[in-house]
Amino acid sequence: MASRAVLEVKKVSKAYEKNEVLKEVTFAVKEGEITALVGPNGSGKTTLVRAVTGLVGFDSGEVTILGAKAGSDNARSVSSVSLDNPVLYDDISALEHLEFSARINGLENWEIRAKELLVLFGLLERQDDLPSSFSRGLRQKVALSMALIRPHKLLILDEPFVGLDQKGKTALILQIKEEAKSGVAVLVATHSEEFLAVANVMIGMLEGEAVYRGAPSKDQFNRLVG
Amino acid sequence: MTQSTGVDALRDLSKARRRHFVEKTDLVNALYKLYMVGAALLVGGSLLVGLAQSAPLGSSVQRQVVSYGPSYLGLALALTVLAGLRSGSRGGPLAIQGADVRMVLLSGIPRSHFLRSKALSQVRSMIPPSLLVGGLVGGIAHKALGAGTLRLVVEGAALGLVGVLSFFAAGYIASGLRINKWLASLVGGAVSAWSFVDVYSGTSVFPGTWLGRFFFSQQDISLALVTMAAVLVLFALGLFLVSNVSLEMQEHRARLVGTLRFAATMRDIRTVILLRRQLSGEKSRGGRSPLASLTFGHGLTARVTKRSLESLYRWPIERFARFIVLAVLAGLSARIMWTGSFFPLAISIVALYIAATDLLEPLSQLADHPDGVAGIGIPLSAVESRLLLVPFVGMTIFVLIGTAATAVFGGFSVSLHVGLISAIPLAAASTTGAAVGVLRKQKSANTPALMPEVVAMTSVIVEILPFIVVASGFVAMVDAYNLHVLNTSLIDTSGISAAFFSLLFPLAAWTWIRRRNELSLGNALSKES
Repeated sequence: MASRAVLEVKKVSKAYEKNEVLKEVTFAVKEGEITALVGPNGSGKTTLVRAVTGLVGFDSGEVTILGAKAGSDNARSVSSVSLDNPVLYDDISALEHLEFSARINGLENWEIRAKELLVLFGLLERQDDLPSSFSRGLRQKVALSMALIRPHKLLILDEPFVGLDQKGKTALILQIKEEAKSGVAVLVATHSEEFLAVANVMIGMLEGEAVYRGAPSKDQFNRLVG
Repeated sequence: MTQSTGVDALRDLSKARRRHFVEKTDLVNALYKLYMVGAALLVGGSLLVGLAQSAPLGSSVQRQVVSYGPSYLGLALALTVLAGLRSGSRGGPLAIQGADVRMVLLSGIPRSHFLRSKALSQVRSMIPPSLLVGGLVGGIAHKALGAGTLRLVVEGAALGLVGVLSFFAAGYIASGLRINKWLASLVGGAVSAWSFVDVYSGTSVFPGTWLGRFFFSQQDISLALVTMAAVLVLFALGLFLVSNVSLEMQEHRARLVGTLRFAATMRDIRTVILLRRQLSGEKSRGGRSPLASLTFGHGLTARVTKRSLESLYRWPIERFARFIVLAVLAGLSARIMWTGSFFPLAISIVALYIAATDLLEPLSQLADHPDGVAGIGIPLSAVESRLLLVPFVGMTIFVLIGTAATAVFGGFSVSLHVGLISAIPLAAASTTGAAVGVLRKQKSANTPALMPEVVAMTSVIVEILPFIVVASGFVAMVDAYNLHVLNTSLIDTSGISAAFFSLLFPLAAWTWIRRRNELSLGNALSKES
């Protein structure tokens, strides 16, 4: 049976004044599919990810998540996001962040999953510390754990490998594979070439346009990212 | 997912944050801060009331205040609405944390509940200060007007509240409807023009004027009540619409407001001005400057002057507009001195300081990144002192604009005399005062070999020194006022010597800017030996 599209992006365009940052971008991410969104700096990856989350509006086109308009209550309730720079509360602990992310999104029995993620990312010993004392990498791990703990059908990660040590990268890749296995659609914006081995689909962005959509290809990646 | 689950999580988050806050708070330190704030409020309040008491208004001035006050109060309310609309066009006045944007607004719970509660808590936090300030203004008005104290204090507090609600109502409506800043300025400008009709023609067609008439002379009570009710309705509409704010703008604001608060805590006025510009969406003019291809000469002064002029070329229209508004404000505030109250001079000093800091942008950038100049072997102080030239000319124009504004509002001859005698001292004082503000370094509290009291006193002096230098520019003007009181000619030999005296502080500041690196080196060498 063909899997259904969870995320559908149709002819999305956006400009900041005269600068066109997205030009009629169209693609879809199906359930169980891992899609790598690649491209050089300034190609529009982050703007596209933000448009999908509803954080940024767009001028024309349509973005739907399981049929619901991006940014709507229904779309947000099935999608989980970790954006490029982790922004955390400075006055609650790492564990309390996970609890909050789980509970605000309706997961009441969160403790076991939180423990799993803390162990996975090596955060168990720092679980009661405030993130104000954390390094960039540790903050990234907390942000990723928060995205992974909440219930979702679509997982969106923007530059998730930045700041992670090798152990962290391996743990994240493992998690992404498990997510996809359970039917979650995964969209990852990245500069990481090694992620191509994990992805099923690659979308190449260049100057706001989706110039490639197909199987992950190192040649295409090198042509785009350089 | 049920909505109540999310709401419970939000409530528990607040509890956890409060718990951590209490754990971190040092009780003695908190009590000390409370004591300091209370003392500052008491001293400030007494000073303000005392100032009003020391300058009782004559009966003819009282009649003028009662006659013109309502329309000016209406204008103030209209400007508040304009400020609210402009803030709303940039996503304000709501300022929520970045983490809230990411975690709450991107979660599955409906946004409206969270955003409205944040808006309400923002307004709640502004209610006590608005009541306090309004009540204080009422108290001062009682001293000046001689009307019943309680009535004016209560009415003043109510007006303060109406002002705050008007600002937030306009802001929330504009941000909820996502109107752009041009439309916001247009609507706000139209409201201001409406209120200006009353100022100009002495009518009372603007709702803010009705409130003013109620405040000053207990007239138009029913119209004032209708205005208050309308403000409440608009505020409710704003609360309804606020759930539609742009998340992109909220995230942008969250980042800037956080840094802005930190800079304000550190009393870093220049950073506050810079961040304020970013928050208001001010963008420097791009593209190639036409000055780039012009040759001003090869000397250091010519090259530095060109750099300053290129910086001016990058100014967006809004910054020029603000410059003119500040000039008018400074001029009119200084003009009030002629009624016998010196307090508004403080407003002039701050306006001069802000305008000069804007003009000194190239100096600020050099202070942040001195390596570029140091690397090519030019003494830093030589460049710094030359960077004051264009701002000095700019501030002279600033004073002349202020003079023109005061001339329009009465006393053409007096304004012209005072403006001309004060222009150079004020321009020099504001330029060098703001330059001292840009270049001064904060004293470390851990300075060894000095008593804590000395360090504290030095810190206070370092904080207020730039303003003292700016204030020194007013010596000539104060002297002219004294001559005016004595009913003699406004410009005589003592006025001219006062103008020269005014230049002493700026000269000292300029010398410090020229020699401060040598002084620091001298200190370092003497410490080493």
